[in-house]
Amino acid sequence: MKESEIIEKLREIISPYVEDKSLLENVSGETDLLNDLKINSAHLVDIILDAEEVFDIEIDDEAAEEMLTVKEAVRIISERVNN
Amino acid sequence: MLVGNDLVCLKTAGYPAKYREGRFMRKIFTEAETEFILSSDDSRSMLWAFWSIKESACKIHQKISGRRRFSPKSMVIDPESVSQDGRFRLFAETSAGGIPVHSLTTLTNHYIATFGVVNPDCLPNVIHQIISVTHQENPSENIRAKLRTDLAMKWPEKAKDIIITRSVMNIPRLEGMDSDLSLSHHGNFASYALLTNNPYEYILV
Repeated sequence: MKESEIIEKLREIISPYVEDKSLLENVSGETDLLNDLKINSAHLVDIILDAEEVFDIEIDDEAAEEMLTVKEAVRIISERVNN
Repeated sequence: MLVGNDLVCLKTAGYPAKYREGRFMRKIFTEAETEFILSSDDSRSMLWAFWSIKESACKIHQKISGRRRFSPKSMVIDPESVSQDGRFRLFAETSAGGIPVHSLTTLTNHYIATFGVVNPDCLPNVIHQIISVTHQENPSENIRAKLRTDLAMKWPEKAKDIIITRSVMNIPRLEGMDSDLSLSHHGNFASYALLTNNPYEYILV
């Protein structure tokens, strides 16, 4: 799966958990899910669970610890999708 | 001298069915924690209490390790350490990557708020304030304003020299005061936990 497809799907997964939708307009690799998108940390668990379903992958606890930025999330997902 | 805090607005958090299901619980809680939560008289409150205890411990761990991680599962609560003082206060001990964190959680019908410290002797020295958020566009400003007001009232001579800043890891701290600070916001509420060597020093000024 291309990185651009992963980013697009990830944006759809993240969107319901972002209260201020205008923050989604400038999402880049460096975007921090908690600090920049103001996502509540409890919703990080929702995002990880949703990503597991959408991409049909398993994100273990060690990988989940790293999923704080869009860049890291894309890396973790693409490593598992393309394996 | 370290403090970490967390707050859960119960209306915002809700208690969707999926939160009671295995996948969600397994991402956050150990088997022993899950058993404790699900066997509690009020599983919803206990789930969010345990969550806020882990988040508070996580903030302390980040301050010590200098690393940002989302690792609720590696903040391990000892269910045997959990004790309740009436319905509204809950004490617990957590191992935050090997660092012991002692926490006090306040449970209400509207929010659940926790603060934790490494040294249990410091628990009484923590000033913990919870407010309703009125400025929804900038909720963190609400709690900063509350903190500035409290400092000015309690410590009028020094308050003007105290500045609320953030470290490179986005951790709030006070410049100009020997203390540690932790802030939290969720839904309709925000809170601060301030640990000083002697909070009564300025409360009594």
